[in-house]
Amino acid sequence: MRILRLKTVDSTLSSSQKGKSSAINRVFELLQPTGKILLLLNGDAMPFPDAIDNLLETLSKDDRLAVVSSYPVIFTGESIASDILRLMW
Amino acid sequence: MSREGANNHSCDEMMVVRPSYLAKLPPGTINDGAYLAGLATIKGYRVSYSPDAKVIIDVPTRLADVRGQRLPLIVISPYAKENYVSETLLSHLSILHYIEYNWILNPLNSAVAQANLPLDLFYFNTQPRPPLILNSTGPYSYKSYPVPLQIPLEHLEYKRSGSLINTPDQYLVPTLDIATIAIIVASIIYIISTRFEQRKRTSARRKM
Repeated sequence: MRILRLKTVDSTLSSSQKGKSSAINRVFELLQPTGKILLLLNGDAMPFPDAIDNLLETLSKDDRLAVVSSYPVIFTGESIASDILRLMW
Repeated sequence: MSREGANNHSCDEMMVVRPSYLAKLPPGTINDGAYLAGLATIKGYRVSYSPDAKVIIDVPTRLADVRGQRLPLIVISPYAKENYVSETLLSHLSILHYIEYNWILNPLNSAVAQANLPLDLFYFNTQPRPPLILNSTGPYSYKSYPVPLQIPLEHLEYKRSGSLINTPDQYLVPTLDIATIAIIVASIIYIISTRFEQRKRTSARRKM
């Protein structure tokens, strides 16, 4: 498995500032002909140690699967802010 | 969010996709995860999630950090700009301010008066756009995603992003109007004079 950061795929991505969708499209252009799998991970998210393996395992079980997403775990603690955030999510 | 049994919704905090099954995202797509999942379904592919693929979402834990959390605002109007993202910093007060602005009303208070107006979300220099009739079939149905644009992007008469004014945090700092300042000053003078009187009485008693 090789992990590519969007900014390192094309140095112009960081300066073009056309948004995430534009960056994903650039990576799609590279990967679509190859049939490879793309992992999208937001900057404020941190996967559990075996999370990526579990995603790939689920995807590999079904050739008709195009998208497999993760299960979000929100660490908020116990506070008024936490209660508000739980309500928002 | 992905939850048990909700296989048709996609958490885009972390996901794996097969790019060869999908197509490019439209420019400026905000919810890329939902778009890719919807596109995959329309193309006849499947969408799923893995409950064992856990991802930690970093969210604020203090009340002070809640300020600045994103809140969606969708403007529905025949004059709303199409495919437009506003960079104007808005709050709930902005909606009140807009009502006051539109109906020429006096502001409720200084905080509302200073809230940024969402005026850049509208384009009034044209005829109102006709309504979109949502249906079970046709271009404006759940079977068509994304919904086709009413005006082709190349014919838009305005930029697709912008800001009317950029004064971050302006409205978050409440300013004091003259009446409030007068009350505060009067209170301070009253407190000082009361204490001064008390000291005078105390020293007079000691002398006696």
